Amino acid sequence: MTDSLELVHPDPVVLKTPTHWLIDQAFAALNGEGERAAVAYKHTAELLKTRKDAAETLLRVAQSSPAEDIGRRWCAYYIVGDIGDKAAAEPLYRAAASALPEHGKDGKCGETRGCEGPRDGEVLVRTMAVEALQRVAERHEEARGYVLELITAQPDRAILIEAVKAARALGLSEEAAKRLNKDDRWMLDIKMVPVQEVMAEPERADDSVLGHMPPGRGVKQDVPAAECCCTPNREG
Amino acid sequence: MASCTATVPNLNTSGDSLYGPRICWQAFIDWAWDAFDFDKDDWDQGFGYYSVCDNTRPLSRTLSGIWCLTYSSPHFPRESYNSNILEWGCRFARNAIDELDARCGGGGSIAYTQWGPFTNDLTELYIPYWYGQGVSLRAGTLVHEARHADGKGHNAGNNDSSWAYNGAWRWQVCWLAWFAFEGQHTTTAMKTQARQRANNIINNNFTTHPGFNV
Repeated sequence: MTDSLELVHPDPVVLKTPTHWLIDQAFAALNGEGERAAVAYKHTAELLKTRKDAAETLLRVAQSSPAEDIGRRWCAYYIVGDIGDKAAAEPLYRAAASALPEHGKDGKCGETRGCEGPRDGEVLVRTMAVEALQRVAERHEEARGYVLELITAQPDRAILIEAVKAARALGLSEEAAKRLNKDDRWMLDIKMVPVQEVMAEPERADDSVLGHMPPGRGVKQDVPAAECCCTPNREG
Repeated sequence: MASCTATVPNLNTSGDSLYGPRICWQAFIDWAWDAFDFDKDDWDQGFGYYSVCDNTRPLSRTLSGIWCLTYSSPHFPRESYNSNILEWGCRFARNAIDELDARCGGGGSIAYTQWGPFTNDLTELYIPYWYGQGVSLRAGTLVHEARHADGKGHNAGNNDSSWAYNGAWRWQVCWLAWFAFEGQHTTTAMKTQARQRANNIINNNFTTHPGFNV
């Protein structure tokens, strides 16, 4: 006997204004594959830049989306960064500095209960808010103070390091050092390394087990069928 | 037996609009079902066994993670351990994970693996795995759990003591970083999230910070 799951499908988002419609297009393009999607995203972001209410609407989308909709919130901040409206700097600072939920109560992970949790999604959203703030500050010098304010606010370590990286990229290392606790100044020395230096040791050789053959071999008797379409349906 | 409900997030921004149709391929489902040892009893009751192509259901969303883990390397179908983890991650995971089960979960965990002598080796996935992270991060979680299933736990509470420990956090970081660098058939959002998640792990989950970001 296993657990049972019931899904809740939220009402479709109403695209109330042309800005909402453009944002919806930007979400789709940012999450599309290939050159066509990249070009579509670029054009959509350019159009959004011409709309005065774009950043404000995106920030509202980020703040009003359900907490568990990490992807939607993250994408909204990503696009805010590309629009680069200086009015977004303060809301981005507040989003990045906002308190994280408590750690899960499951205790030790691995042998007992899970290692990752919803808090990690919240850290990811705030990381995007910091990167967006950096992009705004690249265009508007007056927004740079918010990056430094974020360091002063001493958020969770992962967010603090993102803020320190942003300050460094903006040429604000000295100001950042003044605001960091003495014990945290090592963060200014974190290296950005190429991926070729980021390797896992597999502890096994190529003559170890290859495992099941790639797709396309054999027909199983007890597997679900791929005949239905991709529209949601109910399963009870 | 537990009952749970979940709200389905935006399908575009989770990557399920892109990856969902890809897993709706019987040959792939046959292979993944066998390679990761799914069982019907662990994936019915609303988890998607009877609607495997429904990208709002956990089974489709798990298979999307497996698809991403399998086909993202530009060198596929090569799976050499002499290369980077994006290339051999799926080979390792399908051989290390003994069985993959769907459960409601509780307390906010994403996934859980148990292993060892006189233990029913298994990996369980929970609600936040499907509805709280995008497709590329789901693939990264599978690498992490596979490292546990291989017998390597954490050695500093929830953290790994160091990069040199070569534990589940390092492997997850490496897979995410390589996916961000050269992952195929994916999106800007999936790659950027992978890079950021890799850095979040580097910055939070090693007792001794490795001293770098990607």
